[in-house]
This record gives sequence, C-alpha cells and structure tokens, in this order.
Amino acid sequence: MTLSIRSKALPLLFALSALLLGGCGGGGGTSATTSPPPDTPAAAYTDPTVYSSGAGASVAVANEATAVTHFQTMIGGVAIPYTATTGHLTANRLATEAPLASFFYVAYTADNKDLTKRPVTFFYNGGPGSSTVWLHLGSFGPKRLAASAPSTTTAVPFPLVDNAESLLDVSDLVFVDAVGSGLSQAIAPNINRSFWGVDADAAVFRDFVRRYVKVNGRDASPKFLFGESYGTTRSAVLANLLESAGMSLSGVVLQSSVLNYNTNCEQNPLPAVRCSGFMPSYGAVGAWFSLTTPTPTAAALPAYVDTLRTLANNELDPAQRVFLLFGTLPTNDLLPRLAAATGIASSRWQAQFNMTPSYFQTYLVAGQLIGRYDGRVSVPVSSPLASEGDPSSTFITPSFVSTIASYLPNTLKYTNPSNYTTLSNAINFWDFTHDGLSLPDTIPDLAAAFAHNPKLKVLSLNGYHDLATPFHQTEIDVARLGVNPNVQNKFYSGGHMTYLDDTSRVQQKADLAQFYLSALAQ
Amino acid sequence: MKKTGSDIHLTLVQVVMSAAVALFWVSTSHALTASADVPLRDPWVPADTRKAAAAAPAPVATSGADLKKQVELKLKKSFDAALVNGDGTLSAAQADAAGLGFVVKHFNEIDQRKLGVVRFEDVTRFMNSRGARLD
Repeated sequence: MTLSIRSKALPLLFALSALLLGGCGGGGGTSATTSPPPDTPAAAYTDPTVYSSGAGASVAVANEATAVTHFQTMIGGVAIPYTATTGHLTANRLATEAPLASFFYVAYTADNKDLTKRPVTFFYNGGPGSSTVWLHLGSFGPKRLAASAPSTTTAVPFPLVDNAESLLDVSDLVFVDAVGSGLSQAIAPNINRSFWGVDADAAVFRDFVRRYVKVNGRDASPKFLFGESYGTTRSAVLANLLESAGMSLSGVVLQSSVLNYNTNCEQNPLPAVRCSGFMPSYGAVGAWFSLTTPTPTAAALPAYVDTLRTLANNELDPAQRVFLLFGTLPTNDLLPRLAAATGIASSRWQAQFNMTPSYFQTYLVAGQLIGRYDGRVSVPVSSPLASEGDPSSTFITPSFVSTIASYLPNTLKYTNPSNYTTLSNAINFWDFTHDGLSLPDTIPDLAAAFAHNPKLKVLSLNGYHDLATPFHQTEIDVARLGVNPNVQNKFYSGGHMTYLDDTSRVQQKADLAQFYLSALAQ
Repeated sequence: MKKTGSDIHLTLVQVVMSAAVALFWVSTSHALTASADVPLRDPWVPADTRKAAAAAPAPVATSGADLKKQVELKLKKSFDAALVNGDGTLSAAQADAAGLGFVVKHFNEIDQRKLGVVRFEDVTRFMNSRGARLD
C-alpha cells in the first residue's frame, strides 16, 4: 500500500522538483543573480517519504521538492524580506557524482541580494548524531526560542520569537542536518552508517555544500561554515576537504570547540591527559556562585579568568603532570589556592587532583548538580532535571524538540510523516579514527585549510561557563596554529550555547558582524 | 494437569500476542534508544571507543615545524591518492577525476614547467607563493 503510493508519487515529485529548479535557475546555476529569484512562488509541500535514523536505513530514491515560504523580519531597525526553503537536496560523491545522501535543510535567503557579494553560511550541530535544531532554533536564525539562559524557571515550551540578533542581515543561512539526524538519510546502496565516521561525515557534508552551491547559483558567493561542538571537529575536516576540492571559504566560525579530542580529559581516557585546561572554567563557574576568593563582578570576569589561565598553565598543569606520573600531590599551598580560585574545597582537590568536570559538577555545591553545558545552572540532585546528568541540557531539550515538530509544518509549510530525529544513536556506531589516531585531532586539518587558502578567517567562540568544551583548552589547541591574525578567539559569559544568554547573544552578533566584514574585505 | 483444547487455544493466542508485544517492544525500544537512552552529551566518546583509544600510543599535539610536516604529509597523501602516471605527476584531467579541484583551478600557475603535468612539490611551491609557509 505504502509502496504503491510512493512509487506513483515519486516520479511526479521529480517532475515537480525539476520544474521548480528549472524555474529557479533558468536552466543553469550561473544565470541566477539575485537570491532568491523574485518569481519563486510560496508553496506548501508534503513530502510523503518516510525517513529513518536507523543505522542500516536508506531511501531508495531521493526527493528534492521543497516548501517555499516568504517572511519579513526586522534586524537592527532594517526590514529584511526573506524566503525560507525547506526540503531535501542530494549530495553526490565528488568526482563520480554518484548519489550519496539526501540532506534535509532549511535555507533562509534574504530577497533581492546580489549573489556575487551575498555570503552564505552553512550551520550544523555535532554530537555526533545531533540534528541542527539547536543552532537552527536557538542561535542566529530569523526566529529563536527565548530560553533566557541560565534560567530554569522560564515557562516551557519557550516562545519562538523574531530574532533581533539574527545573522540574516549579514549572510544567507542554511541549517543542515547530518545523515541519520533530522530528516537526512543515506541513499541506497549507501546506508546511514556509511556516513557515521569523522572522514565519511565530513566528505558527505562537502558534497552537500558543493551541491547546494551549484543548484542555487552560489559559486561566486562568499562561503562560511558555522559548526558547534562536534560540528567544529567536522568544520576543521570539512574546510580542508572543500579547499582541496577547489571551493574556497571566506570564514569558519567555531562555536564551543572540540578540535582535538585527545586533549579533553573527559573524552580521552589516557592516564596522561591532564584536566588543567578545564580549571579556568571551574573558576568562572565558582565565581558565578560567589564561591571564589575573590569573587569578581560580571564585568571583572575576563580579568579574573586571566589570573586562572596563568595559574592553570604555570602551576596546575606541571603539578598534574607530576601527579599523573608519580601519584604525588603538591606539597606547597597550591591546593588551598586552587580552592580559593575555583570555589571547590581543598579536600576535593586532594581527593581528585586531576579534577574532571563531572566531579566538579557533582561536588561544587553540596546537594546540587551543576550543568555540564551551562555551569551556571544548578538544581537539587533530587530534581528531575538532574536525572540525565546535565540539568542545563534536560531543561531546554523539550522546547526544541516540540517546536521543530510544529515549526516545520505550520510556519515553513513542510509536512512529512516521519519524526524529526533530534538526536540519533549514531555516536554508538561512530568511527572516530582520523589520520591514524583513535580520536580525532583536527588542528592539522585547519592548518591544511590555511595552506590551501591563507586568506581564510577563523573565529573561535567560547563560553566561560561551558564544562563540555572548556575555553582554555580550546585556546591552547587553537594556539598550535601559530601566530595568525586571521584567527580570533572570543569569550562570553555563558555555557556551550552562549547564544542562549540574552546579553552574550547581542555581543556575539556584534562580533560576528565584524568578523564577516573583515573576512569579506580580504 | 492435562490441557484442554481451549487451554491450547489460549496458549496460542498468548504466544501470538507476546510475539506481537515483543516486536512492538523491539521497534519502540530502538526508537527510544535514539532519544532517551542517549541524552545529548556533545562532545562524547562511547566506552568502546575510549578503550581503543586507551590502548593506542599517546598522540602528540604538534605545533610549529612538526605541524607543518604533518600538514605536508596530509596534503601529499591526498595528492598521491590521485596519482595514476607512476612518475609522481598529474595532468589537469587526472586531478579533476580525483576531485582535486584546487589543483585544477590553479593548474596553470602550479604547472610552472609548462609540461601539462604537475608534481606534489609544484603544488606546495604554489601554496607557499600565496603565503602558506609550509617550508
């Protein structure tokens, strides 16, 4: 029954999508000069294809028909009319052009812009196995969920509001889900799992970006990547793959990075991996709860954090090195000074001198669990919000899950019978190996991207209170690239998703606008 | 106790029902695994992968000259994967067939010898001429 409906519908859909594409491109990617073509009519679309996040799943035939909707939003006092395009696009293998995967995406394009100058930015979360719902509905899209981080008392689900800090005044925005997440799926004979590894995933993203650029006439547009968390791992590998394939990037935005899994003591079990890179984050969180001595004001946090960087580099790191080699604790006053600097008791530093973030989350405040994504969140250990180990994640998740399910059909007019997979279990199948290592180190990939394109610009965004991807470890990893004026680090009050903080999002938008300006001036 | 016909009938119904329940459980528990049993912990490394990583030698976080060497090896590996001539050279068509769009795009600048084929060292020389500082 289902099969017969699909087999009848698909050729029709193909004809329809061919018509739509023909109408958009006028018979070739290069003839479209403004985005999107003014004659693109609004059209709801019901995609009958059933998508699955299963490891062995694939679609037999890809469907590229899209829903098109028109909106207008105000950013910085300027009205911006824009078009949202929602649906799937096929990534074809580089060189052979064999179909690999049907990527689900939502593209927001400002109307009537000069495509040769108008940037386009590709957004994706990480996981691996995560859909891009977090960046899509939380960060710099035209609408955002008003989460008011780090509050855990905001009414849920959060309202979806017009985003005054949207990046749409600066760039077109394409939110795309990794294979096996959202509604993205492999095309037979490939299966979702075929793309569940560091290299295969980055390669198929390259092929999606190439296809998007080609179909939408964006060859001349400045191109940017915006990945978060594992998405930064992906971005580093992807940037090099795109440059190698001849597609030059203008900029890469790294939101809360994990560029080298081997230096993150929570992710790498090697006994020699020191947690010193986390300590300044502990201090920022301790300061938030007024447990540090001194306790800096919010405005003085950056200066306070500077003293923590020095303490981590000059004293804690060498002492942890000795501890991990010989099992001996420092005999000087380092333990009480660490207690003063971070707010967690000297006895705790004694009990776990190479202190992991999960230990810090558990023991900073008696009877309370501190958030992993956002260390400013604290709930009683008996709270349902503590049940998954990260109250900051557990609190926000239902709002994102329920809103994407209604936003796609009701606002973007895209309907599909499948569940949108917010998070797949891809991580349990993921091939983490990369360049001969068991866990990826992607600094060489970023360096290789720079070798192809020395004008590339990289902006690393970090949250002071993020206990998942600690800002100090990230700046140490990034510093391996050497002195390079094209690499910038920025720090904000907030957790992993700094953009959920209403003050930090405003600062972040200003920094992003400046970054895009400087990247476009190259 | 001796089973009657209706007992057996009941048992068969139960078997069929429990099979259906089991099937339902398998399909739904798979769906649950995708959402509930794996809360979003990004980044995260599963236990089995951690074990494999722990068994491997400690990786070195390269910088400076060592990182440059690593980058050069990485670039060479991708260049060598495209080689078909056996003499270490690539034509523009061969580079294109291997997806080395960067080489294709800049072929004339890279091919300083004007032989219609380029070597890996021609590519790195071109990169350095643009400011790559690989050497």
